[in-house]
Amino acid sequence: MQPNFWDSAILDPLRRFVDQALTFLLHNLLAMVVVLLVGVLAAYAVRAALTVLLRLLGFDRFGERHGLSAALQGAGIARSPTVVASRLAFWLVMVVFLVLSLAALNIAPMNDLVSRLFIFLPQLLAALVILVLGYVVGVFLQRAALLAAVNAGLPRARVLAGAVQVLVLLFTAAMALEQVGIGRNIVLAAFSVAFGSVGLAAALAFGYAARDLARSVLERHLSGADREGLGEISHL
Amino acid sequence: MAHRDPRDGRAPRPLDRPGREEILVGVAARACAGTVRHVVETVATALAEGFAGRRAAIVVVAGSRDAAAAAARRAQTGAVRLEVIEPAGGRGWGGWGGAAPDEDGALPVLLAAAERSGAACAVVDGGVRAITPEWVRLLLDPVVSGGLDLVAPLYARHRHDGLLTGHLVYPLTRALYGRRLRQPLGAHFGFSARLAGRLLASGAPAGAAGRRPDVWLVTAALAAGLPVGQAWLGPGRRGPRDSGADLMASFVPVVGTAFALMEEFAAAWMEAEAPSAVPTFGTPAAEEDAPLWVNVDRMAATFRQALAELMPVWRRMLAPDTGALLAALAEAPPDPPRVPAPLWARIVYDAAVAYHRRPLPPDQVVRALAPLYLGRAAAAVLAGGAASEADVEELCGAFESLKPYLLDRWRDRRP
Repeated sequence: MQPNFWDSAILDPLRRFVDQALTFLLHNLLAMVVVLLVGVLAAYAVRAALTVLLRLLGFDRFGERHGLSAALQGAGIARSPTVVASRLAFWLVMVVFLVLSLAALNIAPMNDLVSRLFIFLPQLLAALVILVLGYVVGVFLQRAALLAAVNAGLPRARVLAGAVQVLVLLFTAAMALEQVGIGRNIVLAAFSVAFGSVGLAAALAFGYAARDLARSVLERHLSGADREGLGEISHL
Repeated sequence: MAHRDPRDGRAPRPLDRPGREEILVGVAARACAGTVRHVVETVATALAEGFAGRRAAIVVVAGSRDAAAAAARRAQTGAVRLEVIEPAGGRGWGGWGGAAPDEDGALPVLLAAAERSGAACAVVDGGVRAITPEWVRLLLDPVVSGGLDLVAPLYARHRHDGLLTGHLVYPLTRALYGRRLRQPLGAHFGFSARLAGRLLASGAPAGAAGRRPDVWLVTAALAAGLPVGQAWLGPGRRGPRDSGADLMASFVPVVGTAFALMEEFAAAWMEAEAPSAVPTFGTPAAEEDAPLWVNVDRMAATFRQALAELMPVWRRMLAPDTGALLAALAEAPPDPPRVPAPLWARIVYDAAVAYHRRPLPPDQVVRALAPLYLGRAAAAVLAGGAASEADVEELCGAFESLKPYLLDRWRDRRP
């Protein structure tokens, strides 16, 4: 065989492949490793900074007050809200840098995937924030409704308060799903139907089942016949 | 001399005009067009007869769209200067015993005027027709001649009246600040320019965040260790704005203010000594004996329902031992369960600590305490004593003996 043929058919392609492989290894892979290492450092830094900041802000007390700690314990997570939030931030930063490191490889399909992930990530974050806020608001309103109902002497106060919380959570879940773009129309329609049904059911239930309650409340406020001529006690 | 206006930037009001009064009497006159003229004229008579020769002024504070302002202007006050103020916020004083006061209330105006002129000051409710010249004299004389900084009212009450005062506010105030001021809540007070200056210097407007100005006034004087007294004013406390019909409207601001002030004056009550008596003026009147309507069934039903439904909320704000005692109470006879004095004192102290540490939002701590108070009050009414002095003394003893428990829990930072 001719040496030219050997060079052109075997060695040149092999050389080019080795060159490309070395370029890839030395440039892209190295860049990926560097990005990953920076990511790990950044994630640790963010975790430490967030832990300090949240402790200074009294986030654990906030979580205790608004039921976040109880929710975490209910989910089997025996960590404080500060630890959970800082670990979430750690992994969030890690995911961002992992995606960036994949982009550093400069492979066409991977680049497409990375750009899609970067478009989706803010929406996912917003949905997570909506869910957490919705949970906190739901717990707060549940307790407020429970206290108001008990102090007003309304029967089945816990059921009423639970219904308030469920409605808030449903509303929150619908907003979160809408945010990430999952079944936008279906979620909207389902939520509208569910909300309307609950309202209608509550109106019917009150109309039919709570007539006596409504009557007694009105009588208590309007008649006053049993205490005509009597003063009423002052608690103060 | 321009006085320090708690609401900087607003237009000057009538009291900003130079005045050299030695005595100022404020009349809270929201929604009391039918009585305010009589009250103003009674105050004028008291000032003319009891404090002749001293320069005096009456300051009526009414809502801006209230017929009470016009009625007050028609009053005949003789030589006594009359000022009628209509706060810009449209809401007047609110009456001491009525809706939550607002920052446009009369107290900041009167405090500033008293501090500026160095005058002795009294505040009275324009809606109480039973007022007599003697009331005004009793409120002012110990300040003008006796050197006291605060004179609180003592009303002749029905034994079922003043349950919140007798079962919570008085025992708590007495145990904390060490003075036996029997009725820290009221619509009528006398106070000195020195107290006015201290209150203004504290920087907190009287109506801030729904605070009750009467609780603020009394607590600030007690915490500062100023000389205080009380005066028998006879009956006449109750009015249409002070009924038991809507407990939460009065319970939340009163108890919320007391708990909030425990944070502000923690250093003072932690150092306070055993309670001592305060000078009392006037003649004790017999308690009211007119029949009163007490819906004990509803109070007891609310307590029973709370025992069944609020235990998870209580466990978040009460100490574990207190929660266990309360749970045991729900299981045992009699019906309605009676909250014994020591347990009630622990509950109130735990609630105060919870208000301080915030395991729940403060407003929810106070609202969760309300059904427990109703249970305590209902059992007391059924037992016949209600707010009788024997009951109240027993309760005060429990609050005082458990004060070390409060101190331990307040200082303990463990959850």
